[in-house]
Amino acid sequence: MLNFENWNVTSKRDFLLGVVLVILFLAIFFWVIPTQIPAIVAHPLAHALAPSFMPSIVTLIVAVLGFLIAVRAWRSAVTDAATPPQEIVDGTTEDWRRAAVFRTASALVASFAYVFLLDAIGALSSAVSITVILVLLAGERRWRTVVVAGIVVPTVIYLVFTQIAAAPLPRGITSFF
Amino acid sequence: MEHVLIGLKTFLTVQNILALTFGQAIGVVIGAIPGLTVTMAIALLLPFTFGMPALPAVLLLVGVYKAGIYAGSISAILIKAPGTPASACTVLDGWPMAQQGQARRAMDMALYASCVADFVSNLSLLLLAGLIASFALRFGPPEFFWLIAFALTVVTAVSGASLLKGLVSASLGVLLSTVGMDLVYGTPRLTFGVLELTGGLSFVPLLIGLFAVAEIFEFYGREPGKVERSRSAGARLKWEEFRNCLPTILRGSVIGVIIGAIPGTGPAIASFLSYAEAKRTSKRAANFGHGEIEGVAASESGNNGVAGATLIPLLALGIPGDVITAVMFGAFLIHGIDPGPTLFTRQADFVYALIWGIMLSSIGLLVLGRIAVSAFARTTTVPSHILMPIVLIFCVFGTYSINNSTFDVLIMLGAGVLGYVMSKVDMAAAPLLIGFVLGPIFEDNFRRSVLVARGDYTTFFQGPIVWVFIVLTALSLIFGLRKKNVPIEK
Repeated sequence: MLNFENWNVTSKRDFLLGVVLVILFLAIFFWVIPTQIPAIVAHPLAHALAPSFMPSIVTLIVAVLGFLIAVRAWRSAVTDAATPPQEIVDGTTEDWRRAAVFRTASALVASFAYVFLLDAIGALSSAVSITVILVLLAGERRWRTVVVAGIVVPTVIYLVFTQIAAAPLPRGITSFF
Repeated sequence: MEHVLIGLKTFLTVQNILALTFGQAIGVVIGAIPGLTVTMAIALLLPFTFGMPALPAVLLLVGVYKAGIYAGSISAILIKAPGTPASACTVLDGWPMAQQGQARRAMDMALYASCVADFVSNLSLLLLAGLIASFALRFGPPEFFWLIAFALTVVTAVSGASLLKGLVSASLGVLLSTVGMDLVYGTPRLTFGVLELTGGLSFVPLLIGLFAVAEIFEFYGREPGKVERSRSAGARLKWEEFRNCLPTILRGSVIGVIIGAIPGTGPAIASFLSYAEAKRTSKRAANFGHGEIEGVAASESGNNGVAGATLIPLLALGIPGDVITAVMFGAFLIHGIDPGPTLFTRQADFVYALIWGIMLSSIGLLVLGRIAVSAFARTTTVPSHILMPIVLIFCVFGTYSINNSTFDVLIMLGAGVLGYVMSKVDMAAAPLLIGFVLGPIFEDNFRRSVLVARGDYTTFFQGPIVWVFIVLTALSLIFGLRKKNVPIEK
């Protein structure tokens, strides 16, 4: 049985990465490719390789590479276990780790919400909203900076794209602009 | 010789020089904004040239094209968002240099390397157009296949600490490139019934997502209050530094010329090849990827070496080498210029005037580039927490503008998440881009070779060019794997 308790972070992460790659790409090979690429049977172009040729080869290669990554991580963990463990002090606290996860997750959610609202409320309104949210999320609290960075700058960028580069960005609720 | 001198006289008019300079100014601005592509700028400017005489009209478009390729490096260095696909490789060392407070040195090197490469490329257009065009014509599918196989070995140079993960990244790029319509049978592949995917995944959203958007997500995961990047552009480039990098720049220029002359390749391939070759021969190879100025020189000389040479097949053979030259081909026809083998005899004065304009555009690029570098260097004073949301707005607007598609923006965000995850597991993003760019050409030429040879696989081992690239591929793999600073696994 694998005992992860004595493994260092890198070995654990790489082992999991390898396992995920093997499972994911075998699933692509056995399930996604057969269902998403039509099989070509007895086509007049007898010598043409099937459309699934390259995706199948590449998928198998990644599965094999994933297996090798997992094996290397396991071997590395076994070797490390033979040497006395070293305390790693990275100076980080649990509090800021949690804050970092929250900030990253919030930025991700806000970015996707921004894109989903792009057509509905328009490029300008959504850009102003996301910029204000992200600037505040990064810890900025000076209202003048928030106004300039969150409202003035996106408006200028919007005008550059629409008026100078003639890019037809979605107008949404700001169709009068 | 007579035509060459008449060409110079024809070019030297105020209208021509103004058209070229105006085109270059637009190219610098467009190229520096992520998502706004040179192709889009040329397509937008084309109607404005209808009322102009042929020479200034074409010079304007050529100015946009050449300056645009250079300017992609500015945003690649300053905000990790390559303005053009050609500058994807410049991110690898340019962005770390900017983080270390050496943005000015990186931008100066990018400019000077671009100008030198541009000049070498233009010179080759003037002197070797016929010779290079006839060489490029000898490339059939098997030759292309091995050329791309050779180019794929670049992955060993940009994989970072783990070659295995680099290979996974490159394979993922190849797999993503297969999404869309199959080129031989015309059947959809891996589209999941989504209409927008039938045309395949666009390169620019993927590029911007993997680098710029991933960096934005990473920024929010860092400890608050820590200095994420230097807020100074730093010192200018020293003459000694430029001189030390000159062999790399010249080598990159030659690589760019050769790649540019072969239709269907492009500046991104040339810059990665030049980068890999520079890393292989450099004494500071271990520093590549961590802010090595020679890496910036190699990348920028590689992609700008393509700029003049890509016009060789267009002018000499009437074959557009990529999308941009295809749009320019249309511009030539609109203005009554018929590119092809007879162009040099039927419209020699026009061709040589154009070539003189292209030659002298290197000087214009130097002047405009210096102004641009000084102006854009000010962005380093903007704090990261203000800059990152603004970069996101540029990325979204730029990506949307390519096809007026929200789906492309979603792809960009998806690529951003992928790039973020890849960085968390120490997997380099550059191999994915290489796989994505080279994958379709690799697959297409492999399948076409088999088809043309009616299933005879010995076609891959016939002809001198094929063997040259087989040997180069083998040598590149051996050197890449043996290089001490590129261990197979940590």
